[in-house]
Amino acid sequence: MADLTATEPPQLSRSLSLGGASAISTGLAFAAINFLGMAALLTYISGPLSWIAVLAGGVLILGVRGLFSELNGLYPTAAGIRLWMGRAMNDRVALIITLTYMTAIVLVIGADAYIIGEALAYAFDNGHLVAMVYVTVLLVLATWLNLRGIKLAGVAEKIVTSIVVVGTVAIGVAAIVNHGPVAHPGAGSSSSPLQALILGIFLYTGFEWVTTNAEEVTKPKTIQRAMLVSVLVLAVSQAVFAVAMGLTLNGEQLGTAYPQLLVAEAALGHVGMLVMLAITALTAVNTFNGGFVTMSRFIYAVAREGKLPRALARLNDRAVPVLPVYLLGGSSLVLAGVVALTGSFFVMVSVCAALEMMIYAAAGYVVWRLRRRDPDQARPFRMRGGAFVALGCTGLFGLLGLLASVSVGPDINPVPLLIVLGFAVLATSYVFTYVPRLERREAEELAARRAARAAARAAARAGTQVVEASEGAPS
Amino acid sequence: MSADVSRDAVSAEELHEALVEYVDKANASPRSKKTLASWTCRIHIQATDLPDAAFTFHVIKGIAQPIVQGLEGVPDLVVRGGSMDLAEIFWGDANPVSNYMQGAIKTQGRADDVMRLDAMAMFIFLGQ
Repeated sequence: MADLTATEPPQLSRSLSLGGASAISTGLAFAAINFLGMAALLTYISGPLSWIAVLAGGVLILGVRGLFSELNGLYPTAAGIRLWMGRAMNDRVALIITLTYMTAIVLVIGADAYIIGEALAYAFDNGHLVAMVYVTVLLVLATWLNLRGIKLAGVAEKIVTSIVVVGTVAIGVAAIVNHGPVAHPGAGSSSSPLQALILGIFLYTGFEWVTTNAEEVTKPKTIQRAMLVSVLVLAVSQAVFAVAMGLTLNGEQLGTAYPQLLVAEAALGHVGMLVMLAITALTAVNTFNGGFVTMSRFIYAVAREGKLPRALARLNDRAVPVLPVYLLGGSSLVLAGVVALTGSFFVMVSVCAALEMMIYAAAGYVVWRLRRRDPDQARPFRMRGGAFVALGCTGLFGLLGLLASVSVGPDINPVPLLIVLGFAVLATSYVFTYVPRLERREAEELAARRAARAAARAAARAGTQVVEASEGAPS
Repeated sequence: MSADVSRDAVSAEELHEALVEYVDKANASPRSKKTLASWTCRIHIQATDLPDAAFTFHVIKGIAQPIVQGLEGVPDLVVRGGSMDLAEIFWGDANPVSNYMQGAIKTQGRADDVMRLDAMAMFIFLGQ
């Protein structure tokens, strides 16, 4: 028999290794939309210097890693975000932030589908209409695979992420070595280090989603280390490719939905472009695999918790939450269609960046609040600098999020802010009008079940006492 | 009925009985057997407030095996919590996900296994 105490970490038959967790963290962050993030970054900073913005973003992301490591140490669970926000702030506010944040995942899936569709159309010389057909096929395929319960196994995830990283670095290095005269003249009038920094941070966003795998590791430090490995890998690979992009592409090329293909084509010709197309498609494997699975399971859990309609917790015969998967596929398709019609893919970059900064600001606040509320609680990982650094992160990322929400490429544009506010208003009205009804029903059902059980136990006890009394009575 | 009355402690025997009852219900649920037909999982269930309340719940291809007292073999999933929180889940009185989201129970293992364990409870008690 296993000797397992309540405090000792258990041995599991299948646990996540450092390599596996690092691959998940890196794969979730390295989406196709990152290439557009690099292109947007290059509108603020000259190509040869773009690595500074990427590395500076990485330094700030190390602070985010500190926040998430502390929170993950306190609540090592897939429900972490609900738990730690619920402990630090009003549950309704926590739910609003969580629901708004979840839209970022839909945005990334929709934007990635659009980018890959456009990349395929460019590679095979098709028009925008055919690109939308590709997008539809991709999303239908992703939805179907998810409904069948098919997902990337751990080893495959490591292989896919390794190919994406190594391939990106190799093409980036080839482009740097082979580049001609610097095509991109530099930031010029739109030079803005702060906005370059925001996009530098954006290139790492999503790496923290690996904390939802906290229950799959046997050593708590694995997740913290995996996030560190991921930040280092993302820093090197994306800094190299951002410089390559800056040295290779002109302003017009940077404005396309497939700048990474143009870099590869310039460096290695048609074959290089096709290789980059395959790498782009592989980033989507990670995004779709991670995004669909994480998001649909999270919706299922919130519905089971009684905060979303019960229909969202219905499972098919493969134990997959059907409606969340359909909703994800459908909303991603609609989003990709809107982006295709409006050509507003840089707006998506800004919205995603703003939403991620918002969650980083919230995480800083939660660390600060929990340090004050429960200073003596055991923390397997403590963020360096204490509560004030955490509060500083809230201020910094709050400010950067606000900036991200009013800038699109080199222009000041309030559309991302309006979109974020729109999501927040929808989530707020849902939480204050519909959730109380769901909660009332849940509480009534729970009370009724508990009452029935307590009555049954009381009756059983009374019956036992009667038997004991009759057994003890003289015959 | 006040919540206080229903939240009194349970003994290791009561928790064991709750698990045995749960296994019977799981095997009587056609939906559970069909949907979880490919699921094999060894689960260690441990009450944090009762030192002798530790059980092994083994599901083989969707069929729940008889509960074993004590922790047997290397688990795929570990579920820990207060004895009352655990018993209420296996009685069907409490929502496992609510307990999980509030941190009343803790799990260790793959998210897929956690979800399937919850799905089993949902099939048994909500008749889905």
